Amino acid sequence: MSLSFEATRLLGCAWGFPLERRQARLSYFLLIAEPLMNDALTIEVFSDYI
Amino acid sequence: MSIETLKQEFDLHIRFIHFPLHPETPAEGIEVKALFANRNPDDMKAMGDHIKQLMEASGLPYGKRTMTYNSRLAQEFAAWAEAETDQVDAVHDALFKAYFVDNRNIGAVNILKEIAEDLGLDAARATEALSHRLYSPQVNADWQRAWENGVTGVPTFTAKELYVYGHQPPEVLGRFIRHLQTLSGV
Repeated sequence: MSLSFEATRLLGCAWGFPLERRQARLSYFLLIAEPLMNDALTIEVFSDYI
Repeated sequence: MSIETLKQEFDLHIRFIHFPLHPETPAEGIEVKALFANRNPDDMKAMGDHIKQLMEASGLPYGKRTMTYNSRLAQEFAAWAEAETDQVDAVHDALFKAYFVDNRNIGAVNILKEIAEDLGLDAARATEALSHRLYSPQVNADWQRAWENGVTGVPTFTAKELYVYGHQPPEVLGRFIRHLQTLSGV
């Protein structure tokens, strides 16, 4: 574990770049990290309120 | 609550899929004793005591319910909250409390409007969504998904085409999550 660590690591990379490159790196982070989070850590629960 | 315990250990995102437990319940609700009229009263008391015990062990309040209500509009209300607000978890909690603790009719638009107001949400927009059934297709899709996957009870936990049925202690759900992580190569 953990994906949040991986996301932070990738975002940390983005912070190390100049502004004009940071935007590109953030896009990269969103592309890479978000699917990872969705794949591994989203659990769906069939439920009702009654 | 098992899920809250797990969230302390794992970085989880939980999403509700609406399931029709008793869709035949009339809008005005029915008495609990009528719903289970063909059950043995001793069995019903034992079941109620068991649920109360589970709730108390998890630190959750649990009231004495005399009525059961149709949850369809509550589900559409939550679907609205998920789509148009960032408060869907608070809405889930409020609906459970309204039903299990306060014995309120969560199938009534005016009650759902009050819940929206209490949470600081746009109650007028919530009422509009409910009155026009704007989120009925989303709830229909959830019900369809349950039927297509053979889900017959709640809670049923699912990820990666795997299913865990029924109330489970945190340890069992933890094993499920670790298995999912293994499958994901995390």
